[in-house]
Amino acid sequence: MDLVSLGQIVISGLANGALYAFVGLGFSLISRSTGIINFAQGDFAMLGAVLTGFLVAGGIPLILAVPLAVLVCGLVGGGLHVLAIQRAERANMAQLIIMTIGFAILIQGAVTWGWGSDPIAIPAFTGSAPLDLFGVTILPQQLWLVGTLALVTALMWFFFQRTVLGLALRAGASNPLGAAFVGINHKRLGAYSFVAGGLLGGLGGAVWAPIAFAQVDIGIALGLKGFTAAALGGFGTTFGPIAGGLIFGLVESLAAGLISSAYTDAISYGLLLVVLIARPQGLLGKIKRGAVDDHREEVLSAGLLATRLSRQDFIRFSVAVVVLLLLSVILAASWKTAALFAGITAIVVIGMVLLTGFAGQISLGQGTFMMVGAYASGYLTLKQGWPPIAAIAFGMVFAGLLALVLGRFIFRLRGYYLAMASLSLLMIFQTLARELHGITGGPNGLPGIAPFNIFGMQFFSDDEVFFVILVATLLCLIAGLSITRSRVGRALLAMRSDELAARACGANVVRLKIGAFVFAAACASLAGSLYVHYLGIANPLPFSFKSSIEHIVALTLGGFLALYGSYFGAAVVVALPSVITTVFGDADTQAGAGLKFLLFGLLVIVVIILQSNGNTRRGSERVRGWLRSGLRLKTAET
Amino acid sequence: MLEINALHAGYGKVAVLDAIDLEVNEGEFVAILGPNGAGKSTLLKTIAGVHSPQSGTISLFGRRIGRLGTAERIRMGLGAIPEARQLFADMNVRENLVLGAYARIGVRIPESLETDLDEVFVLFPRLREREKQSAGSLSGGEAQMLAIARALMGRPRLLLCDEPSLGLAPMLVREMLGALENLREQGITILMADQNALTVLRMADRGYVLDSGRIVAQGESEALLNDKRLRAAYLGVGLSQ
Repeated sequence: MDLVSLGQIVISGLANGALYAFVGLGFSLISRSTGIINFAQGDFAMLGAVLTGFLVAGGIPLILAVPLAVLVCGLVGGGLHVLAIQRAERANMAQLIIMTIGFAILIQGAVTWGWGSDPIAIPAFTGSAPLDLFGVTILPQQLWLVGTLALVTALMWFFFQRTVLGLALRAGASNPLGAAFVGINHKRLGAYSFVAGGLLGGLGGAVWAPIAFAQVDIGIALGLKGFTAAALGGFGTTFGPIAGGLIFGLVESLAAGLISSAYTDAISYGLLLVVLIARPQGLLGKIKRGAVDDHREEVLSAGLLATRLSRQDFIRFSVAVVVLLLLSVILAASWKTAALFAGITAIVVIGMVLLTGFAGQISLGQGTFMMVGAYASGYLTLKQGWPPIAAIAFGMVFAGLLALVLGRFIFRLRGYYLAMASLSLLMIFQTLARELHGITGGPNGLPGIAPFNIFGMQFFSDDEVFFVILVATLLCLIAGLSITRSRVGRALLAMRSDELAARACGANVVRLKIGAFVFAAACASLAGSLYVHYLGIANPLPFSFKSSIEHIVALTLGGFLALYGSYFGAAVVVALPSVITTVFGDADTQAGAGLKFLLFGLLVIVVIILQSNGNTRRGSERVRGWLRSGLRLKTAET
Repeated sequence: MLEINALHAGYGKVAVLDAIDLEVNEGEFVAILGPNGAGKSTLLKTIAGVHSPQSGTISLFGRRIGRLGTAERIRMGLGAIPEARQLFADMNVRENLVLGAYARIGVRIPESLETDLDEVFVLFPRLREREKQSAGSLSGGEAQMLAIARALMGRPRLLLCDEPSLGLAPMLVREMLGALENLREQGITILMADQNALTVLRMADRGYVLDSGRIVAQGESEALLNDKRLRAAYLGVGLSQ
């Protein structure tokens, strides 16, 4: 390869990296001032780009459209803080982070619903005639992007080091109680930092948009890559995300240009995974010393939970079985399919209740483990002639081992590193599934997987498969119940509310987290296996990041600590699209998809607000009260 | 200077403070004593505006402050050393001190802040040596000095101290109490909650004994120190004496 092409690769890599750095700066800004990892940051950038395009298309001159779009992004950021985060004052950090995933879904849904997902072209700020530097072409817009980034970085550094407001924001993240004692109003400052995050994201998106196209789909990718930039360089630093973004852009571009464009994602996310394992605080970040724990009140915790399996548990479990069996009789054929998918999702969510609800760790990549199960079942039954049950067991063990190895590295430190690590693992596995044709069959997948069978019994029709999935969910439920109602469950809860205290009581927190992760991975693998046995084909698409979103929505709706809630959450997630189709018709599927995500986002936000204020618990207590008084009345009559 | 009437406060359904009446006069050193969980910290948090009361009134310099934010109270002359110090561990000593003045300086750092910092450094020379070091890396004694210094940066006339001796070696406790004694001589009124009952009561003019959210005894320090029943029950002096 000649030097000029190499130069070209480097330039385009750095230009993309500048955008990732922009988004990463927003992640860093908000995490520094509120401690929250704001997963909507990429969508602020997407919103900035799309709004600019929309305004320009509407005849507004570019010079007005850009500031206007950026301003709107700032307002959206501030609005989300005031209307959602401030309403969930007693939510814990994991809940708040999941809430920002709700923001991301909400913004994507709103944009798709409102403007569709077609790409919009935006004119460059100062002409599109490329500049020539020793044969390497540079677009003027790329210079705009890099220049803006440099300016913003300098401003941000000054802001955080030299201004009172900047110090106050850092103080609020460092020690919320201490900040309250010196008179810092964390609500107001949190809103400021979300406004700043919105402005920052919007600006990056608007300046970048003329280089490519503005469209809603870039939101997820930008979020992931900006997040990677911040994680790579170090959250909580000003220059970390810049370095991280540029390195990530460069690696991505070099990997595509020199090695293979197919493996770009695997290589760049592999780099992130290596950094997370070797240096979890990021390249420039420091491990927080004497950092203060998150002592927000645990509204959701123990009240609902018995500490060991009781007679009540058996009653509840039997009720669940009866209800589910009744459902199988009642459900019409068209809903039976939905019920099957809901059951599969519920299995994943049961695992997540332990991982996120009990162990307080957020995974954005349970799809990875579903893929392990899916391909284990597909490959081993199709190509090796294994019986399905053996393939399923192999998948579960393999997924568990994978979780064990990853967990050993990731859980050494406190914090939300699993979110990033699981995400990069998912990206890597998605690439591998598309590229390792010999095992996975590539993007077309492995067709022709036989239905599940055991002891010579075939489970072919929907009714038969429903039975298999029902049994599988109940097995996972029993496993989940017996774990949470045991000594381990108590230790997990203790750890969730105060890790140091739990450690002091002799709980091995690292092993507990790993255990929860392994359980969740095995559940997901089982779900993946059942999925491919039902559909007859294993391919990467159903296990993409969008599935992670659905899992998180289902977990939130069902309740973070509610094992039975998994069924409910999964049912809503699976049923909502059909409900939307029924209500709004099939005519415009794009708008329908937008509406689905809009509603998902709203649901997540509202449910977390209600949970954090104890409303859901009060609600369920009331229902229980009614049931009880109803029963009493009946017994009184007889 | 500070007057509290029929104050009730708690966390959710749990009542912590039950009809507290308390008064602190200008120039006094008043101690709040009582066992763990008596409500001492909640009382001080409520006075500082970090925790909201359920009912009752708090007046500072004759003005009702129940609805004011912490920043407003600091501007009126209230300072606080919170329980367990609550420093900004990953920020340096200087930044911690600047934030102590947050409520009164607004968005721009005024030039006069340098002189304020110098004054504090004269009181605690160790802190000047550690100026650029992160607060999390300080020793227990140094951290406590920083907590006091941070409160002083707000220019308080009434200083609330919550368990300042917590986790300090006896020699450091004496040093810290000496520093507070100095502040008092400079005219700062002090309201202090502490478990180190005897030592504190010997320094204080008056004291209140809090138990399960109620004031069970109050009076001049002398009188409290000589009350045998109180000594046995609350002041950590065993029956063996």
